[in-house]
Amino acid sequence: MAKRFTTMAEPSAQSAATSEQYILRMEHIKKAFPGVQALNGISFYLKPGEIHALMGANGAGKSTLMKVLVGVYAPDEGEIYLNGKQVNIKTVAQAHEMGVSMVFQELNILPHLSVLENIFLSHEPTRAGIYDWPKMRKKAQEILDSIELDVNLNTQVRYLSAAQQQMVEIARALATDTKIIVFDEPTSSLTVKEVEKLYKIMADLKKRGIAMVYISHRLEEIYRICERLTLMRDGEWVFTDELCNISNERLVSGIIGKKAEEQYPTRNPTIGETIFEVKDLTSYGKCEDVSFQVRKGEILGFAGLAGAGRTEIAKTIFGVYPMHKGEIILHGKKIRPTTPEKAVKYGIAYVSEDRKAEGILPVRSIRENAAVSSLPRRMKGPFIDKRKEKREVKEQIEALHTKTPSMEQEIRNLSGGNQQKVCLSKWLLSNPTLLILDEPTRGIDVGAKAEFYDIIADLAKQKDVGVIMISSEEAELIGLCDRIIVMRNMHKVGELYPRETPNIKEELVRLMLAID
Amino acid sequence: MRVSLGRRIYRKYGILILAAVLFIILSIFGEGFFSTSNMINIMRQISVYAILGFGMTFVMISGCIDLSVGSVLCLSGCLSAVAIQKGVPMWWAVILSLLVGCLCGLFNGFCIAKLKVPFFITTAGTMYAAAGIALVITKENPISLPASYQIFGGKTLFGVIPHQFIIAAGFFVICFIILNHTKMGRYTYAIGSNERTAHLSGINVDRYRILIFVLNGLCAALAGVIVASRLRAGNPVIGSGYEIYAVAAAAIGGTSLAGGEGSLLKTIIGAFILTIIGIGLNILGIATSTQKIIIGLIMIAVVALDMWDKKSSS
Repeated sequence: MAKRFTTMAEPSAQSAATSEQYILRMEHIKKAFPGVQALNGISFYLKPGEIHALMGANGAGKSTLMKVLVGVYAPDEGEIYLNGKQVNIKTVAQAHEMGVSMVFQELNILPHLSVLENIFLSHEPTRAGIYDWPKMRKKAQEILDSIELDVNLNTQVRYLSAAQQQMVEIARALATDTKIIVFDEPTSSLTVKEVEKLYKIMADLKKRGIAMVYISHRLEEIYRICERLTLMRDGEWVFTDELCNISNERLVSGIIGKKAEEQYPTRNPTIGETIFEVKDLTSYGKCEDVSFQVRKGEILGFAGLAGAGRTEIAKTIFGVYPMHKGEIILHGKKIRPTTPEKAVKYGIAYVSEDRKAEGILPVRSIRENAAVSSLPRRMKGPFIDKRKEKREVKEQIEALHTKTPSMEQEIRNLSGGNQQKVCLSKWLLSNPTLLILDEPTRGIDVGAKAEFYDIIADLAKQKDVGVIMISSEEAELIGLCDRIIVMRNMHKVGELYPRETPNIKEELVRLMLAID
Repeated sequence: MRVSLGRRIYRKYGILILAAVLFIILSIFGEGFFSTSNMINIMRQISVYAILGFGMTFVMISGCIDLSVGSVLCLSGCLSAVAIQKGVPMWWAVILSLLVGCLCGLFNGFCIAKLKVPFFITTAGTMYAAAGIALVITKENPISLPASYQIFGGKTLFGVIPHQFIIAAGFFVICFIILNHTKMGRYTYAIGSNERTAHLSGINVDRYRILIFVLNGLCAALAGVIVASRLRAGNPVIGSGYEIYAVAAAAIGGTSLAGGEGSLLKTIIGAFILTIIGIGLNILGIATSTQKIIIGLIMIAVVALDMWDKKSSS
C-alpha cells in the first residue's frame, strides 16, 4: 500500500476530457428537510459500467443523494446529467424510463402479488390497453434466468426468502432496461452464500454495461467488488478515489476520526451473579432446547447465520413466539412471559432488528417514541406526568448524543442511527433487567457504531442489567462481548470466550457453518 | 427545508381560517344567519356532531372507522323511550342507554381485536344489527318521551345556551383529558401510528382497541340521548347518515384515516364547519339532498388538500 495517497481533486465537468466520460453527473445538489440540510452542494460522477461505492456516516446523505437521483426526492438546487444531457427527474417512473433504478434498503415489493406482477409493476407491456401476459412472462423468465433466480413466476412474493425478494427487486430494475442501478445496503439481510450470489450477478450486470452505485457500511464487501469509492460527510463530498489507493485504516479513520482498533471500548468487566437463565427453551419451528445464562455486568453475544434461531430465541423470551418447552428464570424466579406486555412488566427489553416495522412509531414525536414503553412509571394517578417525561427524555437524548433540534420532531425525520438511539432510549427508560439488542448497529455508520459500543459497554458496567447482543458482524461480537453463543439451525452449538480464544474468528465461522 | 410562511399558517390555522371565511360569507349572504336565534341553533346542532366526532377521532387515530354510530345513536334513544314506557325512572333509563352504547362498543372492539374481524365488516354488521334491535324493541314505531327528558336537549340555560351544548362542552373536556393526558390517549396514538411497534413496546393493543370502541359507543349513545330529547321521542328509523358526519367532522379536522394523528380541537372546528354549512345552505334555500352533495365534496376537497400538503412537503 502506497504511503502517500493520491486523491482526485473534486471532480468538475470542466476538468474532464469530455463530459461523456461519465454516464451520470450530479452537480452541486442541495436538499434540505425540516431542521437538517441533508445535501449541501454535493457533486457525484459515475462512469459507465463501473461499480462505485458510496460511503459515509449515517446522516451523511448517501441514501438521500441516491433518492434524489431516482426521483423519490426533488433537489432544491443542482442539476443531473445522464449521458451528457441534462434531465429533470420528477418521479420514480421518469427515472425508470431514463434507465435509473434503485434497490432499496427496505424492500419495496408487494408481498401479496406474484413474482411476475412485482417485476413489471407500473411498466406492464400492454396490447391495446390490456396486459400482454405472454410477452410479460417471456421477458420475466429471461430476466430470472439471467440472474439465476429459480422461482416460479406465479409464486406470491411473500413466500420467498429475503434474499429471493431482493432478487425480484433486481429483476424489476432489469425489466426497465436500466443502465444505472443503485444498491442501498443490499446485503444487510442476506446470508454469506446469498451475498456471493449477489456479487456474481453484479459482475454479470457489469459485463452488460450497467453502472452500479453500491451503498454499504461493510468494508470487506466494498473492497471486494467496487472499483472507485466516494466518501461523504454531512451532505458534502470528502473524497473520491480508486479503491486500490485507499487503505482500510485511512478509510475508517476518515469516517470516524479514530483508528479502527479503537472502535471497541476496552473493558474489564466485573461479572457478577446470574441474573437471567433459560433452560431447554423450545418454540416449535423457531428454536430448540436452548439453555444459557446471563450474568450481571456481562455482555453475551449471539452469533449465527440469518435464520439460525437468534432472533427467534429473543422473541420467545420476549413473548412474541409461544414457549412450548423449557423454563425462563429471572432473578431466580420462574416466569412465563406470554406476551410482550408481560415481558416488559417483568423487566425484559427487546430492541428489534427491524426498526422501521417494529421499532418506531413513525408519525409520532421523539418524545412519545422514547416514552412509550415506560408510561406506567410516570403516572400521577390516571394522568401522565409530562414534566417528568420531558426531563427523562431530555436526559436520554443527551446521554446518547441523539442529534435532533427538539424532542418534538417527528421521529421519521431523523437519520437511521439517531432513530436507533431513540429506540434504545425507549428501552433504557423502561428500567430493564434484561436488555436484548437485536442487530443494534445495523444500517448505522462507523462513527455512530463506535458511539453505540461505548453506550452498550457503559450499560453493562453501571446498571443492574444483563445484556444480550445479537449480531451478524463477527468483528462486533468479538470486540464487545465477554461470551458468544453460536446458533445453528435452531440449536445452540457452541459457547466461546473471545478474550481467551486466540483464533476466535475461525472458531466462530466453523461453528456457524458446521465446518469441522 | 424552510417551510414557507403560507404553508405554516395553513397547517396551524388552515381549518380555522376556512371556518371563519365560511362563517363570514354566510353571515353576509344568508338572511338571518347572523342572529341570536341562529347562534343558538348552531350551538344545538354542533353538539351532536361534536360528540360523535370526538369518539370517531379516537377511533380514527387508532387506525379504524366505526360505521355503527348512527345505529347506536338510534338504539340509545329508543332504549330510553322503551324503558321509560315500561316504568323505569328517567335517569336510570338514560344510564341504560349509555350502557347499551358501551356494550355495542365492547362488541365491536371484541370482534375487531380478539376475533380479528376487520373493522369495516364488524362495524357494518353492528350497524345493521343495532338498527334492527331498535326496530324490534320499539315494535317499529316511534315512542314518545316525557317532557322531563327534554333536559338533555330541548331546553336552554338562561334562555341562550342549549343544554346539549353544555353536555357537549363538558364531554369535550373529559375526552380532551383522556386523549392528551392519560395512557389511553397516548396508546391510541401509538396503536394508530404502528400497531406492531405498539405491541412490541409492551402495549396491550387488544385491550386498548376495545376501550376505544367502548368510548366511541358511549359517544354515540350520548348523542342518541340528545337527539331523542330534541325529538321528544325514541324513533327507530333515524340515525342513518350520522356516521358519515362523525367521520367528516374528524376528517375535516385533520384526523388522518391512516391513523396516528388527530386533534379534538380541530374536530370541533370540523363539526362547526359541517354545522354552518348545513344551516347556511338551509337559509340560502338549498334543498337537503343538494346539501349532501356539497358536504360530501367538501370533505373530499379538504382531505385532498391535506394529503397534497403532506406529500409535497416530504
